[in-house]
Amino acid sequence: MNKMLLLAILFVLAFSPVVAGDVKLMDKDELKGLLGSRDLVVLDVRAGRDWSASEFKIQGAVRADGADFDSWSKSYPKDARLVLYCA
Amino acid sequence: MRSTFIAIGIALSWPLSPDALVRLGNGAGQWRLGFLVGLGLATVLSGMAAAVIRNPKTADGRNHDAGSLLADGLGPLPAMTIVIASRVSLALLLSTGLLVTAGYTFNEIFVYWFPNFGFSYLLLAFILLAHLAGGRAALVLQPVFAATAVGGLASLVLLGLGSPGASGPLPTMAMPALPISTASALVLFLGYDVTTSWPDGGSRLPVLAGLSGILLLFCGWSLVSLAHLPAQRLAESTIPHILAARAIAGEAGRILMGVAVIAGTCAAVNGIFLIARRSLASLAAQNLLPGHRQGVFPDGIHVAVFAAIISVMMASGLAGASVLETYIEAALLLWLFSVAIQCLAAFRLLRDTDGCQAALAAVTGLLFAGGAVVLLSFHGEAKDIARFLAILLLSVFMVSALWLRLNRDAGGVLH
Repeated sequence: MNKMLLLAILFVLAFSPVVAGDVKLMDKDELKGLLGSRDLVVLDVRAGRDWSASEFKIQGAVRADGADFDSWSKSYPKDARLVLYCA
Repeated sequence: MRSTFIAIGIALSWPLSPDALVRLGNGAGQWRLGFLVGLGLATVLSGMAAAVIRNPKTADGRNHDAGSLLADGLGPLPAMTIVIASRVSLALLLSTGLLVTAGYTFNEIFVYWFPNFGFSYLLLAFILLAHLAGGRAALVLQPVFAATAVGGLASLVLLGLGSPGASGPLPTMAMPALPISTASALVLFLGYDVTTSWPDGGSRLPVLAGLSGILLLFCGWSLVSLAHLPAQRLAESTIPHILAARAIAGEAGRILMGVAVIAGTCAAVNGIFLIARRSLASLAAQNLLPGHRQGVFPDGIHVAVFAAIISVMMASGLAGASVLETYIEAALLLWLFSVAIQCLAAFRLLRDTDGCQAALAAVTGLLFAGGAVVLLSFHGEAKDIARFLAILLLSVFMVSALWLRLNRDAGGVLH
């Protein structure tokens, strides 16, 4: 798991209307500290072989299509913290 | 003897690749023990195809390959279309996917800090250098790559047979799944249709020996995988071979499988480049390769072009696009279909001289064509695959027809 985190490039999308569009990077240590939080949703947006050839997945991460953000983003509470990793 | 090992190594290029291992694991998980029946039937059919395609009576004393067999049996335009489309699509698309997989395997199993794409490019550069060194190095390396991959897998099979399984008694399968499981297994053995320019490169014996050996290895791996992992997990995983290796021997199993995957990738990419080179050179010798004067085939340049295109495709993010899998599936189905067409060509060449062999060629060709149709119709991306193949074949057909027309107008000699 730690090894997988080394590979991850993490993005945080803030859902608040005030900061909508403000996307920041998150490093692995910050994410490790958040794992287990009730409002945290980790989304694995890797596609193709980036996902299928990799042995490592973050525990509890949900697969999502990064290009289809508008459709799945509505299914999470507005105050949820969504973390997307793509590599 | 060396040429025999090279012929076997080339025939096993694709069966030893990590993508073939994924298909094998998924098939074993989906159809359980019945997949072994499918593997057996597919081996028999593949042996029949090899015997037909490599029938000495079709070669008229020459060392026949796909290009000359198709040109003699069906004419130059089908030969150009099928050979160029199938070989080039494999060289570009399958190689890209396999190199990406090897990169992830190296990164996640061996050296975590080493970029996966960096390793993919290193492997590509190594194989390119072997081809630019005259081609002999690439030929000699092929059995080394194949033997390493076989060694890794065989070690895991032995370890698996020697340790108690964890997934309970082996389940059986329902017989109605036999046609689709056999068709799926047919894809796993592709490569027996390729001949080399070495002295006995066109012989049937090395290829039939390779087919028998790979059947044993596939059956052994399927059995130990099913014994150590739940069938459903094997069926649904994108890395069933790595999961099974870990279940069999823990970290040592992962490392053995990592070696097998990387060696298998080298065998597949190097072998597919050799196959493409050989096929295109054969077309060029008959003045059937667009853009090349008769007999002119600059050695190694085509592999350099393949490597450059693959580099661009990897850098552009194609590895992270699901459409790559669709294209790879299309390239493999086209390869399967090309075997059917080669059997048809052999039928036309044999029907006047050997009725029995001609009948075998016709039956084998029909079964392979049927297998390709079954696989296409059951695939979730069937429309996209069909569209891609239609565009690919039509494009190559038009370029080939134009080349033949230009040659005819210029008074060029085709044969």
